[in-house]
Amino acid sequence: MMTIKKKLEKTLVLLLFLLSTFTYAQNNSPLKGKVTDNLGNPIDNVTVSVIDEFTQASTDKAGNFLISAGTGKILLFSKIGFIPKKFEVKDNSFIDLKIEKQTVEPEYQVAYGKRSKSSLTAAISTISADELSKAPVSTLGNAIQGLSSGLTVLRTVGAEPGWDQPSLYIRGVQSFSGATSPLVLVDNVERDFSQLDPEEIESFTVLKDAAAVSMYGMRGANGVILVTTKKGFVGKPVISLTAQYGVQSPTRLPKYAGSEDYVKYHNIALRNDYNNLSDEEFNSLFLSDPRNVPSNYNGSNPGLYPNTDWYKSFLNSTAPQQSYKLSLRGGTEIAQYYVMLGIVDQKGLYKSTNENPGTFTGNEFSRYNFRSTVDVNLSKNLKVGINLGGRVENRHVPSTGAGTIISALSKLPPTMPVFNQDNSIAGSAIYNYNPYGMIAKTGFQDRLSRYLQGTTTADLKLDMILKGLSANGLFGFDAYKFSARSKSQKYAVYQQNLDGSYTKFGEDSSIDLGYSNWGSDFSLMLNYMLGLSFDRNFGKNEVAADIKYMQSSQSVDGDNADYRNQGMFGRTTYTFDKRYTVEFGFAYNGSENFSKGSRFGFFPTISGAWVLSNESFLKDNELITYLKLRGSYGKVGNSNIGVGYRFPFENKYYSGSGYYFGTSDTDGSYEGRISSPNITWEQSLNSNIGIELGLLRKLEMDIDFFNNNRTKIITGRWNILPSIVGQDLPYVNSGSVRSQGFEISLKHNNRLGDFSYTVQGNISLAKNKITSQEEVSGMNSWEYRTGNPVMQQWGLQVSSDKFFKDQTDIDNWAKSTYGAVKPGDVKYVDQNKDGVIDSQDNVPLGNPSVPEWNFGLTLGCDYKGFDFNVLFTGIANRSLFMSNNVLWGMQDNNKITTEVAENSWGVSQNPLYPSLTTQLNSHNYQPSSLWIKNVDFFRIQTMEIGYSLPKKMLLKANISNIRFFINGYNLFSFDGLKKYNLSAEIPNAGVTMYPEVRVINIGVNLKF
Amino acid sequence: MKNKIYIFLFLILGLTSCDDFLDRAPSVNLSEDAVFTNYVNAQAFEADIYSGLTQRFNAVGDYLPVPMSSASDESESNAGYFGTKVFNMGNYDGADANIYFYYSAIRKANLFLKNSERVPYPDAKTKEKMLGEVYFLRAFYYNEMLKRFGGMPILTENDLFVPGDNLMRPRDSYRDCFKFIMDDLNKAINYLPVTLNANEYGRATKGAAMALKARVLLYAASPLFSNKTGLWGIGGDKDDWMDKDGKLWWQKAADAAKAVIDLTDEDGNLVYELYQTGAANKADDYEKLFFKRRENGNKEIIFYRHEAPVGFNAPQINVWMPSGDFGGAGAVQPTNNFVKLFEMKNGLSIDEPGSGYDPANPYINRDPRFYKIIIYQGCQWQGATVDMSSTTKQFPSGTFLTGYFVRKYVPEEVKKNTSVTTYHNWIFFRLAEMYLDYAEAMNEVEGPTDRVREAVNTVRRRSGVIDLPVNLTSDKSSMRKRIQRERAIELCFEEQRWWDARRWSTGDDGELAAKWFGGPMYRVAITKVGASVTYNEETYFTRIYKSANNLYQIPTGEMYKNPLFVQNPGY
Repeated sequence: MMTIKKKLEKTLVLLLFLLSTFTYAQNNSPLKGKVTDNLGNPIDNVTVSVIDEFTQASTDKAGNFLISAGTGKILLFSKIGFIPKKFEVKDNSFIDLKIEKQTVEPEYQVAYGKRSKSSLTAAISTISADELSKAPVSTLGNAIQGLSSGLTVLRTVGAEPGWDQPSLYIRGVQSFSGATSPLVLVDNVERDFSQLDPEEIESFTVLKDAAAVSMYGMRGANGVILVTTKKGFVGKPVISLTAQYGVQSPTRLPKYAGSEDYVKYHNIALRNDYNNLSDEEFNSLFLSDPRNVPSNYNGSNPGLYPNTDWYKSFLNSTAPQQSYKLSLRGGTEIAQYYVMLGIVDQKGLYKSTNENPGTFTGNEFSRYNFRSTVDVNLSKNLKVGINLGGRVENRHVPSTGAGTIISALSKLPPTMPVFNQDNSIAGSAIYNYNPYGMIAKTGFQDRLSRYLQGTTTADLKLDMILKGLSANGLFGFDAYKFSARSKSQKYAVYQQNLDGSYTKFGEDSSIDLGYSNWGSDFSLMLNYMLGLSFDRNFGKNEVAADIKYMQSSQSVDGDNADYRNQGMFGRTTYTFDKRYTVEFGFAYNGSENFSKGSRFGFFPTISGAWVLSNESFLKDNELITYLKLRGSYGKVGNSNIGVGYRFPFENKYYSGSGYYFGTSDTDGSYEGRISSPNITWEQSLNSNIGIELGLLRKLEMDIDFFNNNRTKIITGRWNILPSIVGQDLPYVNSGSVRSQGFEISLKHNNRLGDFSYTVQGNISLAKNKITSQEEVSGMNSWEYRTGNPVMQQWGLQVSSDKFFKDQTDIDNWAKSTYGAVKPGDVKYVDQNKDGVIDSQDNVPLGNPSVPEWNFGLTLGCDYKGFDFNVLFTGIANRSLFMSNNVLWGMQDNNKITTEVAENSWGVSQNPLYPSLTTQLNSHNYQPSSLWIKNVDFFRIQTMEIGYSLPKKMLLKANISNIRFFINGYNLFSFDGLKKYNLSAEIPNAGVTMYPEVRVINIGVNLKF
Repeated sequence: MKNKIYIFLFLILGLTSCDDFLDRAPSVNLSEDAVFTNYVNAQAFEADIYSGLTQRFNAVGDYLPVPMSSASDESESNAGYFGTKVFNMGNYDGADANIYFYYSAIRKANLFLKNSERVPYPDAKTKEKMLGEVYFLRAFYYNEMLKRFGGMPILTENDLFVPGDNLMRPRDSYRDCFKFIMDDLNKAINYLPVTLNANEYGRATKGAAMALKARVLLYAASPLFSNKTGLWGIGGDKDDWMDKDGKLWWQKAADAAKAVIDLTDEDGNLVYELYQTGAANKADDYEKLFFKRRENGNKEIIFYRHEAPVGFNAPQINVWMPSGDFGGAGAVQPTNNFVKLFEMKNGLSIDEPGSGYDPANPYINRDPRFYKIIIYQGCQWQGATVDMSSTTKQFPSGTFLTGYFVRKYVPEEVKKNTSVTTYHNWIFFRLAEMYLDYAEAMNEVEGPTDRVREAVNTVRRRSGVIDLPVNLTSDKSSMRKRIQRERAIELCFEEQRWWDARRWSTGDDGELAAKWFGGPMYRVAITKVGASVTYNEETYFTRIYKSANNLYQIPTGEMYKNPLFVQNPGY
């Protein structure tokens, strides 16, 4: 691994050296110049190239450039969105050049095409490649948090390298049975994006309303994310090299009481547990043991009375990560190309040891991404593109999972040493494990994933048949290979007894000599798409139309039929005079999971836009510089209905374990759920109204309101039909959910001399409510799910006095079915007054577990080569049950935090937590209002400071740009869980899951 | 050129219009036809019908499930969620009343019976055997519901619901269910073989079907069901199929039990015998019989949940194993109510004059089975002297409650951190029960005759227990009480008392279940000062049991779902 990286670094240095000598060879005096628009505002990032030479430069923020070009040479000035302009060098004088904005409006990526701003009728939002690169994370999903309105990115697992994929929702959760995650397409083929390198991404588009997703039909109801990778362009080659090095450090780790306090509180807990003993009996039983005397842990005899910080012992405070990206991009009119290689290496936080030399005992994720794209104009009418992407992902972890290791750190008491005095691994009857053993002495696993994804496209102009007509095709080829291997080992722990002897728990073994292979997978997906497009203007009338056919099949390892999709879809857009647009889109697609004859559905959408600012009464208005109203209404579907197995319309028998006869198990076979021949997709009628507003040419604002009615959500009916059928009943499509909300996004750019700044923000609200779900009549009113949000949580309500005062209080209250109750235990409200606390007393508590509000705010500025950017993100209306030992205290022999200990019943006058116990207590730790917490947060998500060296300094080296930057991720969070030192987004991170990390990263980017 | 376009368009439409692309050959899963037209597959399907037979060591609860015994006065559950604790608070809604589970097993049997004529059996004998097993199992599952709820809807092989069928069936009467079970059992007895090859152990036999028939008759004859009609009992109105006279019900029950006792194989040998090895301490045989199977020379077991040997971590051992140093969950803890039922060695109960019972030294000179059933203060267990006093270091506080653990069913040689395994099967029927069934039924028919007393003494003698004192069992009523106590001890923790107490209720002895399962439950608090140990009986919980609980509640969920269902009285 290291050697490959070193080799690459050496190659890069060599390459740099060659390039610089190459440019030194050209001996032309530098030309200075400035590029402005017709209002005199400087324009940055204009590519200045010498035609027929390899020389290329670009303008800085002030529009200035420097380039070497001899007299008579022709310079080409180009920038996307501007009309390219040529300039012939006559002498050495300052070039003051104006370039004009292309009257063509900005274009947006939409489903299988592009639309100009005025003809866009759909609700979409975009994230630029530039924004993605500001978050130094390896998993791309984590880099898009807060950047798009209507998109919820929710991290639910810790930041274990390579395993930290977040959950995504567009406009919230809209189904209680079916899948809720959006459809993701990379280059128009259904693929995962999260392990792509940000470097290879050109644009990232979130499709939200019916008009945006209409062409995805029964697969679009949860929204769609379109990822488009980079392609070449016409111009001199640009080589870009980025090297970054960062450190990850845990954000919040629980802070447990040290040994002295731990023993003190442990004794209180024991006293509560042994409340039937007299003081004398208790003292002679427990306090006579010197290990139960707090003052012994004052540090004077750490060998016998340790104070172990388990986190510090096994987690590094920082772990390095590095990444290198090299890309080459350019092309001619005939062919354009883009080549990229990216390397990421991310170490985990575990402290590695010298156990088993030659074996890395820590955790590590490394990834190699490559992409090679070529687009060739084979003839005037035929354009062919080949886009080949691939990656290798290697994950190396100890054989003991992160959850187990971190849980051990959070559970083991400070009074236990890591190693005994004889250097054996410490343990005890209760704690018969040790993180040292888990990390270094259980062996390791390697998971190796390889992906190869090819997309071939062809575009054939058919002007000779009909002007504006073209045919297009796509062939996608995705191969995935996974293999896993491991070596394992066992370890024993030893308890040091007071008399100096040792008790052994478990067994030792040395690590396996050979690897055992325990997993492999292979899949191959083929995608075909054929289509016709028509795009033509007739005076003020613009017409665009598409029709496409697609099919895909994915074969997988094992005894399973391949997964298939098929459909036809299209769209027609008519625009008049850039003022009125009407669009009709449809999809007619099918799913293999519905029975023949009824597996295809038709999903039409109609939408329109009116650009008021192009009307005479608003034209040239200085205040309202842009105003557009748009609306859409359509039917979309979700074929991923959540059945959990394929072909639910078939009647099926499965093979099972049978019964044990004689001396062996007999094969068994059993009937599956009664078939559901009429099962169908979820259907959603979505409407959206949008306003796009531009003020004073400086402020852009998009507002969208939506109302989605998802129906035909499947329910199993087990809760409404008698059980005597003795078999799972067929699914029926009878549930419905209504989702409503709005999104506002704002963008403001301004330049004041050398200083320019950007403010971008978005706010989204998505609320949902179950409007029907089959439920029997006669239940207690609080037990119904209908009327509540899909992700609503239920639990017991704690009475206002929270805890039982004494035995009389217990005797006079409803009895718990969750275990024996003592004074100081939680007092729950008996909702149905049946004298028993049980699951019928659960009421809706708090907010849903997926947030209803999402915020993002970006502030950016630059001044003379310096640039600064900060992204704030936040969520609101989300609650979670705190279910880990940070709040649950000592029960089940856990550790305890001073916060909980000091505020527990019997210790504090005004207790917030139940009485301390060392035993497993199921009564106190039921989901209840005591443990549900508001987990809203507002966070500094990323911050970046960059500095670009002045152009003059670079000219001789023929480097067009060098930029140094330092950025950070997950920097600071404002939330209510600070006092527990828990993450608000992932409260179990660092307790029962891998910790959450903050990343500080430095890097340099060179462009030639 | 235009033609090309049309061809292209035609191609697109052509491809789309047929959905053959999404049509697949039947998936890898089997269809009903494939299962029943192939003998191997049909055999696999039939084997799965047995999976509804569950071991009852861990019958109820979401976490550390405990036996039903802990809802009776035999023991207390010291762990677990939603388990027997809910029963002990008087809540009969839900736990151990999984209607879906029984009907799921019944549906499997019905599916087999519906398709049985299609199966290509290798020979007629095989067909009979399989049919016999399926009829037996269907009867077994129906009886599980009948004893819990009373009459429930009878679904046969003609009631396999398909979508659109009306699932709202009313409950059928107790008598109809009883009759249905008897019909199935008579078929099973007719079809099933008396003995099995070793590779078939675990399958139903003629004896199993006969034993179930004896128990179903005994239950029907018992006061709870013979005194009621309709959904809840067999008594009352005319029926030609069975005699109306209550006495004759008992006679039939006695005959059925006797038939099992007397059952012989092809060679004329008795099929079942009490497990006796001639050990010096005869009670050792009582302890060991639960870990031995027919292939180990134990001919007492008639039908059981056949399983592979298990070790220390198996829940059926671990949940019962004493906690603390012994490493188990110690979740099943005998109550003092139960311990007091053990007679003295001399055959007198502890409260009878001359019994010699010493409250300061309560564990000496008891019924020899006591020492094989109970782990008590000061006894030897797995090489240690058990200490459950308040100052013990053997157990953390809170993990022992009553002052007892269970020894019966807990194999002493299976210790923590060892890989020793043993047979540990849940026994549904064993011969000792047939003797006691016979004694109970015959006592009702003719009073305490010699043959009644002999049946009980046969069971007692196996464990080295003294014969019943004749003077104390001279009339039907006092004999009945001794038989009840005999069942309590001999069949303890076998989920017999839970049903026995109920079926005896509403009889001459009154509401026995309410008396035994409700009210104060006692533990023994043990204090040790130096070498002296004192025992104090104290109440640890007052249980709620109403006479309505003699039948389970139809789960509220089912009542909501089916308006035709009638709830059992008192709920």
